[in-house]
Amino acid sequence: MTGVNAYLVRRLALVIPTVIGVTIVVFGTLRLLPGDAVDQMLGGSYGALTDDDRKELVERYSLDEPVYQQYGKWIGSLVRGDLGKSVVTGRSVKSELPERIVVSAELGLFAVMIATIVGVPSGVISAVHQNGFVDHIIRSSAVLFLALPSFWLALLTIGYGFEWFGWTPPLRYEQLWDKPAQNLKIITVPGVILAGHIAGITMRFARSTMLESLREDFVRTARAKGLRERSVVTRHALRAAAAPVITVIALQVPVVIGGSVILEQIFSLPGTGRMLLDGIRLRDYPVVQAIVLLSAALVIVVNLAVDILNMRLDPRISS
Amino acid sequence: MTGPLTTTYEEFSFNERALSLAELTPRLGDQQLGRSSRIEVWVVDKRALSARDYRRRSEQSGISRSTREDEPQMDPKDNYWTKSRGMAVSRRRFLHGSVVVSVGAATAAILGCGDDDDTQSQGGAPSPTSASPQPSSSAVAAKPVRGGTWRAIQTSEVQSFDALGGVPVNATGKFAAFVYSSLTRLPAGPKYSASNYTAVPDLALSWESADLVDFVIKLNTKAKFHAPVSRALEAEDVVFSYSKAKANKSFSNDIYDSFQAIDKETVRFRLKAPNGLFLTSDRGIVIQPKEAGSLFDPAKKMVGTGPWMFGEYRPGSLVRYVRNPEWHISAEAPYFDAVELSIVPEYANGLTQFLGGNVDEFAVQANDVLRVKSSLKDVQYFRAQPALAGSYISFANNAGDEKQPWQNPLVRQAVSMALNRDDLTEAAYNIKRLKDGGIEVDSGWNNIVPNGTRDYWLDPQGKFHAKASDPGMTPVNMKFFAYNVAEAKKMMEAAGFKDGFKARYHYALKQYGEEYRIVSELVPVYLKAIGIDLELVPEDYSSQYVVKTIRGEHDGLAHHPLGSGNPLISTFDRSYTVGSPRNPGMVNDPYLTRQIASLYATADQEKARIGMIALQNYTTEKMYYVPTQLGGASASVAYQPNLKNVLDYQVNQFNQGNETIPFYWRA
Repeated sequence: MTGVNAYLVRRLALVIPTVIGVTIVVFGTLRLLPGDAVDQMLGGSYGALTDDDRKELVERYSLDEPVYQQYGKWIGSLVRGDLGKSVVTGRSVKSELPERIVVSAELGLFAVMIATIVGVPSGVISAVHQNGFVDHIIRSSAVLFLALPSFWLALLTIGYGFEWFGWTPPLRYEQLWDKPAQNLKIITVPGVILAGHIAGITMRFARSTMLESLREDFVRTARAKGLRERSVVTRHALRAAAAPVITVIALQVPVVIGGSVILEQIFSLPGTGRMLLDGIRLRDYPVVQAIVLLSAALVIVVNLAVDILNMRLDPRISS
Repeated sequence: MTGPLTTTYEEFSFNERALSLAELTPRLGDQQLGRSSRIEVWVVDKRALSARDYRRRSEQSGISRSTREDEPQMDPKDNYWTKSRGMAVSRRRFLHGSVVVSVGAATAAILGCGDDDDTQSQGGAPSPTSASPQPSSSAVAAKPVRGGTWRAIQTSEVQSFDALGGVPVNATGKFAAFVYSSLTRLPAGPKYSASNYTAVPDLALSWESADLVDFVIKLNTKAKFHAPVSRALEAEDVVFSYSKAKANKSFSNDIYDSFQAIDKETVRFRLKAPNGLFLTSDRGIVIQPKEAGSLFDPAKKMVGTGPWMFGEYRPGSLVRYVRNPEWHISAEAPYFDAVELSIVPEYANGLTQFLGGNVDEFAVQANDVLRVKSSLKDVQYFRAQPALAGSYISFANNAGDEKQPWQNPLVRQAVSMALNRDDLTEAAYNIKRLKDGGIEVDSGWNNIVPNGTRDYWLDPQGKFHAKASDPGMTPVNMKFFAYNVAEAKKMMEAAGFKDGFKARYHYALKQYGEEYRIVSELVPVYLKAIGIDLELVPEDYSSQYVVKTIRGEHDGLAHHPLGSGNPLISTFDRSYTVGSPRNPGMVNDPYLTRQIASLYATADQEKARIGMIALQNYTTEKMYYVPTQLGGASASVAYQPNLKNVLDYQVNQFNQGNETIPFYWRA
């Protein structure tokens, strides 16, 4: 087995215990919260349900079984590809997730794309013009993006967007393949707001790695050869700095997932973030477990993909 | 110093068989009423008693005072009967025997045509009163225009469309109300107050009951289920729906013992106990076809007899309904062709949608009322009773540990007198600012029945009476609501707590809105003045408040909201019945228990209304709960300028889809 393959096999082997660990943490954390789905029903029934009713409902939803037994059942159903049924709605979680995932994925990808398009070039420019006026402007902007909470920006955008421009967020979501123009209108503003934080991190990191790269001997050699500065920066320095920048962008996946929860709530986007919030509020264990597990799996997969990509980009890693 | 008075209060007895004193006395056995007490029983027989009759009886009976070692003797001048306005029951005929409601008059009442005072309920409804003068839509007389889409916002996701499937009714009711009907409905229109809780027929055409336990109901077979069921309503549908609700614990108030279809058009209900609210105020549940679950999945699709048919559902985004042209209530309504409910959880987004003209209706928070008025010329505001109509402070284990300071009524009364209710209302609702901006705001001091439920409310300030003959607050009890820190301190001293005491104080975080938070967090400021040092314990709604605190499992004090609705259900029964999951003070007062049972046991809603008003004098003296000012001022629901009938057709609670929206139209 080559070194690369061995590395990949080791990484894949690590995925399994990581996922198991995630399931235990997700499952256990939810059960630590006071109250369960039946308690929510009790509260929402305005006192109609008695303690006997509670007992009956708890038995109906198997919430009285020992925790390890509930965990075992859940793992068993996961292996069969069954994400369970919502305790609150009775609907299959698997049937509801695809549409929701599409919305959140679109928002996340849009945000990452914008962040990359804005963050990388501005980081490069900032590094090239180190300590210049442009550098100061770009760095200050990055700090601003990092400091401003996205939910606050979102609320300001909605409020002042209407006051100044008469703009209102589109009221309902349309799929990209149904009404692409309407879909882009819906996604653009929350996507840009979500991109702001990631762009700030990307810019800062891109600047930092570019500065290191620009000081390397091979860059001095390239300049000495008489190459144009643009060529030196883009073909030589940037290429060397790309791997860490890609890694950092990939590490923003959890930030995107977390940030999208709030923005989906504010802009009424029907994604997994909103579904997760409702699930937590209602103690809908199967829904929360499924979404958190999928999110964790996404992070694991993305990190693995980034590792593979880095190996391609930087031969030093694979050797 | 004003001490707690031990007054003898009337027993309501609307039953045919008079309860004798001998039967009642052994049931007392509760030291809260004193070791020796004598309760005078007024048996309300067929002849209605005048106020003079009551006064004469009280003078003749020589009512003895109940005594407790720690309570001062009552001042004869402050006798309830001599000071109060008494129970001047109007000379309406006390309902006795069978009850029949005519179809024609009921239909006329529903359509708002003609005089329908006789048909609103068996015993005659209270005359409609408005909490505040509402500008009447000038286009009520204009001919409605058909067409268009009613656009509104829902802040919470659809949990299930199956209102009988076990999900809490408040999560499904607002969606189900568009498609489904119930046995009765609350009438809406220019003649009706928004706080009217007397229902009229819907799927139930008429009903008979000799004892308010067994009901024989004739169904309106003109009601037709939407496709794919596409047939007339049958008795089996009603039995199916109620049986399903019982099995799934879907009742908000399970009063039912059994249901039986007698024939295709007739159903028999047997209740657990006499209940005069059934059908007259409690609309009952929605009626599904018996094919629900076999022909269609009721969790995903709704098929009912209501004014709207289920159209489309996009999870997290939209619910759409289309007009039912065969609605049995009206040949012309609904006037809109469709309804779109967009799911928008965030208030700021919803407000912007309304200002941008994308939705037709929006519940505006107090701080934004003037902004909306200045942004949207000719906006129509309806001053509604908030869904969270009132609130109160509860005390831990009211019937338990004697060491707790609040076991002494003096302490509870002192807590009430330490609260500046005008300031609390102003802080939460910005009344002065709204009035300066030209917005009329109706406000008042909540009793245990919130001030917005005007027909049933006993004004602690003694100013408002729904009818001139209604009982009033006794001057003695008025003092327990008046802001008087000096007097409250004296009462604390008399109770043995001159230096006050410390306690924890629980309230829910975020769930109940900004007004609730403001009122909750101001209470400790006022109580500090009389030496009560409260440690604030804000609680997460889902994990702590709804699981424990609201059920009485807390220490110290707690602050709770009260919903709107018929006060017998939403206030008295829930808050004072032993064993109720919403009796956070764990109140165990046999007198209250008996009165609540008696109020349920009458079909005469007018008598029950007066009884509930009178009962608030008792609850004031006992002060098991201290009313506070959530819902102290009216909320504002804004409508687009070009909408008609929106100010005249209003009901409380979440049945707007069935009871009001069908009558709205757009000019």
